[in-house]
Amino acid sequence: METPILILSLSFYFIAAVLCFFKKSSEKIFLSVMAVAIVLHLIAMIIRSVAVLHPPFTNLYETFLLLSFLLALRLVFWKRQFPKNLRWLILAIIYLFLLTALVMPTSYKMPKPLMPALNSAWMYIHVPSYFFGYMALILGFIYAATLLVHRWKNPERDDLSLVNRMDTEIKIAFLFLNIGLVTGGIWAYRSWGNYWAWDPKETWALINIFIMAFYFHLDKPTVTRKAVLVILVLLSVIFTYLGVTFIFSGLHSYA
Amino acid sequence: MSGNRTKLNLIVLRIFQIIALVLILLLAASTFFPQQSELSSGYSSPNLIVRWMSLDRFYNSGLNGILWLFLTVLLVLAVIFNIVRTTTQKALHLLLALIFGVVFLNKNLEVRFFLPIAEGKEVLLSSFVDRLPEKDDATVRLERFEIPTHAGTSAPKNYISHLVINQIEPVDLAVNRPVSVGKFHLYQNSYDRVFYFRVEINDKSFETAFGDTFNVDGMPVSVVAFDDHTEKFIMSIGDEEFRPPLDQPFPAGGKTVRIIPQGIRFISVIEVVQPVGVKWLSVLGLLYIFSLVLAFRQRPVERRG
Repeated sequence: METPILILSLSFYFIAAVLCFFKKSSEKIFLSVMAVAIVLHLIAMIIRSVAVLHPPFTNLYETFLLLSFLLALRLVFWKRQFPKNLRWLILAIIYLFLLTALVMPTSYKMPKPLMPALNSAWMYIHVPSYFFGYMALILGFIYAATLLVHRWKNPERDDLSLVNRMDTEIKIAFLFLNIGLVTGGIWAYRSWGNYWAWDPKETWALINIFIMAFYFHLDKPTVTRKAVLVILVLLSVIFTYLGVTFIFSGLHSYA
Repeated sequence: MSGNRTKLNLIVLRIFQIIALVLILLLAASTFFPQQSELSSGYSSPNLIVRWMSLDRFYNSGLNGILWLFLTVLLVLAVIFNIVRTTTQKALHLLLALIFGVVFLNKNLEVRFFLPIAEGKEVLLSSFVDRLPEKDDATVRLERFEIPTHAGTSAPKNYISHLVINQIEPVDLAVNRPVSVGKFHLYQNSYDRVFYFRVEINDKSFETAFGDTFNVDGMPVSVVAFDDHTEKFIMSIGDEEFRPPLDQPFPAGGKTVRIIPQGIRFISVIEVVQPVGVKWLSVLGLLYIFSLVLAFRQRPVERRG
């Protein structure tokens, strides 16, 4: 039911991305287009929530919608943090997530009732925490990739503001991933009597924390090392988010 | 002196990096191997490297324990030797060390077991726990197991065990709604279904399920399985095997046997835990998050060397 609205939202994200390439385009027009896209996106998510009778973050399709929505919100409400020449990249990622969600097989999109274990208030803290973290990590990755490209083109270039922004995003990501981990443990204890079961998803979530801890414990935190670590973290998180879901079975198989 | 301090800082940092890297690699690799606890206790991977690295039982291995112990020690050393500078960062590292310590105590001291109870049956907690004091013992009876479904679907909404504790206190145990029985916490873990039969042997009647053993005149009797091809049960009386048909009298071992299907009954699998330190873990976990927020809000202190 929400598909036509998502397609409309996707179109507006595309227009916003195109506007990024016009240097003389008005900020007001960009924000207006983004506002329409976000409102349509939100309406689609609300329709989905009503159809499934719970907030839309219990399967891959719904979490793709959520992640792209969080990225869009961040782009609009903290737009000063993002140089104009990077906005198109963020929009490209939003577009990719939404498009992937739209073309997923129907079996991934079929509304399914909540499993008994998911019927808990902790779901509304644990899952969004992780996706706030993933959102920040994606933004951190964009800065990391940009820094590496700049270094490759001009090794002497001073990109302090980009480095500071990357640091901020990684701190946000680390914080929210830890919130997700702790609240997940509390929820698991309430549901199953065991706060840690070495489930593949849990184990990989811990691996992500360790890799990110490296970021804060580099003896020589050069820009290149930090940027490479961010990329490694992102790859690990992608494996946690997608690889673990499809390769391993476990307590989080429904995700 | 400052040179030695710088060297010490670097050594501790390097050790952390090495331990973290080793843990990352071993944890990642172990997710690709089914852990020994998931398989029979006698199972061991045929791969020599996997066995040597304990990758097929990593989570329960001494190697895992030692790596976490080293991490805990490092966290404390980082504070003692002033490698972390700010008060907030010191609190953060000490909190983490405390969390790891409480986890260690919890995993080694807590009592945990699974309690499978069939509908209509009663069990004693002391039959699962050695040397349980009488005052902590309790009877748990499963009156009925219920699977309510979402409206208009057959998808389960919850799994509910309607229990009676100590023969007087009715309680409902469901997923996300644990109950306490004295020092123990009960959690709805899973369930199973079994086919029940009434076995009539001469003038005696017994209720049983596949694999259960009962005694008749001092001889063990068991209904093992049902052969779909011949449509006959496989039954053992003492050392002999018989194949009686469904719901018909059958001569077996000098007796007349009749097996009558009774239907399906649920077995609720309840996880019983006597926790140690778990409430502290929740508090420490939330404090850890709070101190992370504080640490990130501070201006970074420039690390020397």
